[in-house]
Amino acid sequence: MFKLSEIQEDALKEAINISIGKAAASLNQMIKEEIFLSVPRVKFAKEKDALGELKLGPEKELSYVSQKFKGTYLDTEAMLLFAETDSLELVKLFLGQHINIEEMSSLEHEAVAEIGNIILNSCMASLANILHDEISGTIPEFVACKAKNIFKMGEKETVEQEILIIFIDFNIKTKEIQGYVILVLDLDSIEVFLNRLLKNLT
Amino acid sequence: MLKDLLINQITDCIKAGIVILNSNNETVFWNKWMESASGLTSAEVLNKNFFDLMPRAKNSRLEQAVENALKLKQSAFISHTINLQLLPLFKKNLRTESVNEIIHNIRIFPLKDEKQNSFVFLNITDETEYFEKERILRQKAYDEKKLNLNLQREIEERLHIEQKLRLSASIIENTKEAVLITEQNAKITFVNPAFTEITGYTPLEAVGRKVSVLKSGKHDSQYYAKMWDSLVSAGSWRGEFINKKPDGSLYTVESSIFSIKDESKQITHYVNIFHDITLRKEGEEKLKEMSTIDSLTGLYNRRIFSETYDRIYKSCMRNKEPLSLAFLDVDFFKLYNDIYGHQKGDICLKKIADMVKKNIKRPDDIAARFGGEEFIALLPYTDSKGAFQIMEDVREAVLQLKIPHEKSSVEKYVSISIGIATLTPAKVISKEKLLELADKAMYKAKNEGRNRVLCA
Repeated sequence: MFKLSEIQEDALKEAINISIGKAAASLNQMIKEEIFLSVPRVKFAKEKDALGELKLGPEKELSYVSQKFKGTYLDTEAMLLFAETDSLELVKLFLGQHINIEEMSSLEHEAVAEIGNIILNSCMASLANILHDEISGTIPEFVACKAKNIFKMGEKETVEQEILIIFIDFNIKTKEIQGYVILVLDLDSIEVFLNRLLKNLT
Repeated sequence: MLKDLLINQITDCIKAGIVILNSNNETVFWNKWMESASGLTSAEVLNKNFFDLMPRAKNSRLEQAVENALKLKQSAFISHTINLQLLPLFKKNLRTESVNEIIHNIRIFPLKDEKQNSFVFLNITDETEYFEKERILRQKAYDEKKLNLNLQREIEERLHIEQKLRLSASIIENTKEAVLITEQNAKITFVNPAFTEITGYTPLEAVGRKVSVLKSGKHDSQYYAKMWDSLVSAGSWRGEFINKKPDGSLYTVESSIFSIKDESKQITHYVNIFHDITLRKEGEEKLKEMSTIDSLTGLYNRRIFSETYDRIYKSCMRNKEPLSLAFLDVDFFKLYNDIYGHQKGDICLKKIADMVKKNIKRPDDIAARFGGEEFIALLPYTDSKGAFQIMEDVREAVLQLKIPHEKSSVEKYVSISIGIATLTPAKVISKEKLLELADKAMYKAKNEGRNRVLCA
């Protein structure tokens, strides 16, 4: 089983912290609301067990935006995840309070996709900067599902596969919007990635 | 060459905008859809800076995304939901001949050619129809919800009223208070079970008849006129009625009547709520009868006086002894009350009564309050002279109380006038004669200046 050394974990957390911080700043510019971020939590787990890390019941209706990023040192799936009601609040925050809707339609899905895109791209751009690498990403995909199905989107075998998951609590206090940024890293590439991080950060 | 031609044909067939920019933001590809939507031909835009052609997109999310695609190789998605009016793209509706802006999303991808030159691929999709449909659906859902909400509110309101009515109906059915509702013309429209219990009239017998069916004839027309006055002017009346049952028996009710007005403030109905106080009244009467002592003065009351007078008159008649009777009346007592108030008036009466009691103390003597400020003294076996002496003592004693009476024209203090009559009872003389004579003597005493004792 893979285990991070203390220095590896610190480097990882610092890199993610910097990247997410940049992402939050770019979001903050758009909505003029203060955004709070937790210290990243790093977990090795099977995808199917990762759910417990999110303090959400398995039947909770969620929506998330997912993008895959690939660079020389990094291969990851990044997600911005909210309870469905919170993502609706987020859309309202972007579009102004005048929209009077209680249910998300495709129009709101598009909006969430773009918001996710902004945050995740910004986060990855910072990470690429740290790695001195180019990280290209796919177009954001919006998914609405129950919490228990979050990690079932990928190929079947990955569910049983151990992965590195990084969680960041993401909080807009005034609107009581709470979300998570989740990075799922493939263990095959983790060593290369961490070495590169350590080299560049120290 | 063949490949390029094919690609051109394919991209021209696609119902979406395809734009490729080079690393200097210059347009290197512009498909047919873009030509028709922007009004700019491929020839007009090629090798021109895209953001010069589309100044509206300058400094927008789009420009940022294009830059990131070139520099960071990032893909991006730009939605019309967040970025209204991204590019000036239009579509002509041939049916209405109106020109409408195309609502669109843009997907941005970084590209590289074989020489590692960076390009940005913009895929612009028309979302207008979709957006419109969504808007209509949403409006419908909103309207429906509003309609349902209004309907729900209305139903709730009605339920609420009905509940209230049901509640008041059950109260009216079960209360011990009779409820009688009449129209403005006094015709009965509703009675409850308690009404039947008290009045003896069933709803069938009562409804449709005038409320006067309950009258006993014990009140004069003035009494009813006062009630109507109060009802019309104040909207309510409270008081007692003596009514008559169908079997002729009388009963007393304590009644509360109020009027009900419609929106235009016109009286439409009267509601009369009453309960039977016959028993209470009888009880009160009985209690009054049972008492012998006047509660204020502590002297005998008039009823006891009458009974005693009867007995003593006969006794004197048998024994052929003289019987004296005196009427005592406080001088200017109404004036006293007006000046000093009723409470002081009562105290004054009490003090006078004490003096009367103190001086009329022989075993067979009787002093009673006759009513108001009037007292009566019965002195058996006493002639006129003796009676005068006793009553003179009483008069002097009252004056010596020195109860101030500023407005009295006789004395500075409260005084009394006394009239005495004396006779030896006989069968030919009625009991009332003595009373009459004493009363006259008392009035004479008043006329002659008050604060004195006069014998008939």
